[in-house]
Amino acid sequence: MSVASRWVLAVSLLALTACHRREPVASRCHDNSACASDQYCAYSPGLCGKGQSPGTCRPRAGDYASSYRPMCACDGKVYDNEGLAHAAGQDLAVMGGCPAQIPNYAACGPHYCDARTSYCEIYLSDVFELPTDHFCRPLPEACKPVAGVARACACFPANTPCLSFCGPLQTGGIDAFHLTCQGKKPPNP
Amino acid sequence: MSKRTRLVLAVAVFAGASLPALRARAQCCAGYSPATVCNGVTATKSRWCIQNSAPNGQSALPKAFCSYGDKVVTTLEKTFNIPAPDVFEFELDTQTGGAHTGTACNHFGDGVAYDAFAGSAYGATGFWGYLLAMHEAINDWTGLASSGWPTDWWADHQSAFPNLMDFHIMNTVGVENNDMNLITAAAAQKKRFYPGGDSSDPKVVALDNVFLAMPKADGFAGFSHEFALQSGDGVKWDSLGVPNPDVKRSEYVAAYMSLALGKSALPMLQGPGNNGGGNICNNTPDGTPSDKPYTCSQAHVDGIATAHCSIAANGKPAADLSALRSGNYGNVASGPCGSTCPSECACDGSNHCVAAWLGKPPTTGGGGAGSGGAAGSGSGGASGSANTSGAPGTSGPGGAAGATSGGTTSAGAPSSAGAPSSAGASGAAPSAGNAGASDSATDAGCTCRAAHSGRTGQLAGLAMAAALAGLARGRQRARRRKQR
Repeated sequence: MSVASRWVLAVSLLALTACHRREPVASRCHDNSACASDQYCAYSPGLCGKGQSPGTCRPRAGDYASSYRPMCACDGKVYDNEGLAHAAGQDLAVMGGCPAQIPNYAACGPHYCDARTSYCEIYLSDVFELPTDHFCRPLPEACKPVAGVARACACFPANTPCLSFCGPLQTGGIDAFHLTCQGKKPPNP
Repeated sequence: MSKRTRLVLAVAVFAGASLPALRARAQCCAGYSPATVCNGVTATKSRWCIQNSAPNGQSALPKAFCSYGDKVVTTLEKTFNIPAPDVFEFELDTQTGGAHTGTACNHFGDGVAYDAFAGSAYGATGFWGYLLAMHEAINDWTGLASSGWPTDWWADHQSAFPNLMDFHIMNTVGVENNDMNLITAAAAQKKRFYPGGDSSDPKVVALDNVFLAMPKADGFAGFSHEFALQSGDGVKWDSLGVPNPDVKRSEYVAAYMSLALGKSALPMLQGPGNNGGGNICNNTPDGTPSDKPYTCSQAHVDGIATAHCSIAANGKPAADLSALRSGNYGNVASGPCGSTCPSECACDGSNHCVAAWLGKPPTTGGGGAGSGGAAGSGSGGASGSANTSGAPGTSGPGGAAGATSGGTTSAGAPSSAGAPSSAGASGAAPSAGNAGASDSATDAGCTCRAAHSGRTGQLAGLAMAAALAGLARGRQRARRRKQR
C-alpha cells in the first residue's frame, strides 16, 4: 500500500470514528409539543417554560422507586417523587407554586420537606427569571417537634447557615421552618 | 358656570384625583386581601396584599410599610429610568418562605414570607420585610432593564449590584422620611457586606466605591446614566455572542460603567479584595466551579467605550451599532471630534471622539486656533449632547467667545468640562456648550474633555429613550403574562 493510500485510509478511518462519536443532539423545546411522545421538556432554567432559554427534550423514563418525596410539577400537580413526575411528562416547578397542601410537608420550591425531620433552606436568587435555590435539610435533633408541636427557631445551633432569617412554614399540620439566605450563594451541589 | 357644570367638574376632579389610588388598591390576587392597615394611606404606585391564611391575619403588616411601597417604586423608577408597567403588588405569603419576584397571579410585583415583617433583626424592626420586599423589586426592575448581567460578579453567583442597591435605597428612603428604623436597617445591611460582616463581599465594597465615585457623588444618577447609555446603544449583554460569565461580557459592563463614571472603573473592580477592590475580572475564581476565572483588559474596555463614542460621533450608523451590539466593537469606525461627540467622551490628539479618560485635557496655549470660541458661541441649546469644547487653542476671539457664551448653556448647566470661562479667555477652553445643543454647537479644535455637568439635555434624551424602551418591554411582558 502506497504512502498516499495509507494516508487516505487513515484519514477516512479517523473521520468515520469521529462520526460515530457524535452524540445525538437533544431537541430544544419550549413545551412538550416539541418532544417525542416518550420525552418531556426539561426547562431551562426550570421555570416551566417561562424562562428565556429553551429547554431540552429528555426521556420520560425515570426513577420509579416507590419512595415518597413529593414534588411539585409544572402541571401544578404534586407527584410522589421526581421520577413519577417525569414519567407523566412533567418537569419540576423549580419555584413551586402547587396549590396542594400536604399536612406535615412544607412546600420548599419544587420539594415538600417533611416537617418532622427536615426544614427548608432557601438561597434567594438575585436575577429576574433565574430561580431561587431550595433544599430540604435534616432537622437538628433539638428542633424536631415534640408531641406534634413545632419548636421555635432558637432550637438551631448558632452556626446554622441562613439562620439570621428563620421563620415558620405552614403545612396544614406541624409547622416547618424556613431558613433564608440573602446575599449568600448556595453551597455547591 | 351652571350648578350642573360645576357638579360635573367637581366629580371629574375628584375622580381624577382618586383614580390612581383606587387603581392601586384594586384587586389583589385570589387568596389574598388588601392590607386594611393601609386604608387611608395614599398609595398610587403600589398595594399590599396579605394571604388569607396568614396566622396573624391582617396584623401581619405593620402600618409603617404602607407608604414604603410607593417610595421603593418611585426610587427604582428613577434609578433605572423605567416606569413601573403597572401598580406594584407586594404580597405577604404564608406557604412559601423567603421571597420571590412575581406574584401569585402574574400581577407585577413580588412576594415575601409574612414572618419577615414581624420582629426585628440587626437592630431594626421589620428588617427582613423592608429588605426583601425591596430586594425582589430591584430584581423585577433589573429584569425590565436588561438581562444577562455577569453572573460571577454583578448578580446571581455573586450578587454585588442588588446587594449594593439594597442598602443605598433603604438609606435614601429612610433619610427622606426621617425614618431612623430604616436608616438603622440600611446601615446594618451595608455592614453585612463589609469586612467582618456576616456576608462580607469585596465585590459589594468595590461597587460601593464606584457608586460613591460617580459624578457629583450621586451613585444613583451614575448608574442610571450607565443604564441609559447601554440602552441608548441598544446593547444587550446576551447578544454579545459569549457565554455568561465571560471576559467580553464583563469588559462591556465595565466599559459602560466607566463611561458613566468618567474614568476607567476597571482598576476599582480589579483591585485586590483586601484593599477596597473587588477581585473582579482579575483572574480570581468566584467560587462557582463552572465559572472560569479571567482577566479583563483595560485596552478592551477602552475600545468598547471608544466604540460607543465613535458611533455617537458618526451619527449612530446602523452597521456600527450592529457591530457593537454583537460584540464586534473592533469593527466600529472611529468618529470625528465634533458636535456629536457626546459628553461622556472626549477627543484625542488625532481629533477622534474617544472615551473621556483617553482624551487629552485642555492645554493652555496649545496649538489649534482659537476656533474653540466659535464652538462655544454656537451652543447653548437644551438638548445638549454636544461636547464641543474649544480647541487647545491659542487665545483669540474664538476662545473668548467660547468662554462667555458657551460657558453656560441654556440648559443652565455651567460648563465644568474642565474649562472654566477664564480658561476660555486664555484660549484653552473647551468652548463649553457640552450641555448645549447638539445641533447648534460647532466644533472647534477639539480638546473637548467630557463635561458631566453639561450633559443634562443628553441625559434627558437618553432617559426618555430608555424609559420608552422600558415601558415597551414592560408592556410586552404584561402581554406575555396575560397570555400565560
